[in-house]
Amino acid sequence: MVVSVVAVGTFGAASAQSSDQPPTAVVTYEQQLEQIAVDAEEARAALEAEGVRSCQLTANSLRGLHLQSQLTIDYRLNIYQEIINQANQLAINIESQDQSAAELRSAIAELSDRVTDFTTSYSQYRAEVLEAANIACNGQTELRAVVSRALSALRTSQFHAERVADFAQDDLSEVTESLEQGDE
Amino acid sequence: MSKSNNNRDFTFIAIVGISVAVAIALMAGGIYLYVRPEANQPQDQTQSINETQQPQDVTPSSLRQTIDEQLDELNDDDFDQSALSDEALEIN
Repeated sequence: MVVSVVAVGTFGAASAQSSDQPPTAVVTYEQQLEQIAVDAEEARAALEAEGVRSCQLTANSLRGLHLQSQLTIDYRLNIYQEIINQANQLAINIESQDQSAAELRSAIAELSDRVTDFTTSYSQYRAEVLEAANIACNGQTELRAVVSRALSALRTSQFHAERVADFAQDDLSEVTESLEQGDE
Repeated sequence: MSKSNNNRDFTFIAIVGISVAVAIALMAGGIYLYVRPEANQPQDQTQSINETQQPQDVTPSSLRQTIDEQLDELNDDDFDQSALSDEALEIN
């Protein structure tokens, strides 16, 4: 009796674990960004109704921005990873035919390095935005300094993102064209 | 009579003791399944999804098409700096 009751409890725990899995419904990146903006606006309205200080509204805006930036980096990295995965698969296909994919492998390594640069600078931007949210009520001078660092990191990450896109569209595409010419 | 009662008591205590021990072991197992670190890692799930979706018949031209299509999905607004402006943050 005791055993069966506990066994039910054990399976209950296992099913509770599976219900914690993320939902599989497809929600677009833009829809998720929009939802965060709406939530932040609602939180702002609630804070205003409570009569909080303006720095707390600023902190609320920055936290919304931080949430959006999590979506952005996940979305971008998924896209970059999809390109790298396919390029890797192409290299495997070529090598399985006893041909050299050295040039393609080198291009994949360079693209991966550029993605890493983007990840680093965008993560820095996210860290600065979160820091700005946390110190928003410490005084405007301190807030300005952190926001300035966040802007700088954001510009750097944009530069890194452009380097990723440029390399994929120019250099990596060129390598694939030379592979096709080699087949002919 | 008294010895028989003692035997019954001993058997009862033994059954209860074993049941409690088994119950504790099952609870511990259940708790472990629930809280183990690898039980809830979205990265692993993403990775396995990517692995299962990875096409096997990639060609140079299909890779170029993927590059164009995937990069086309990206949004320049991701780097919009206006949300960090003094006005947006209400910094005087």
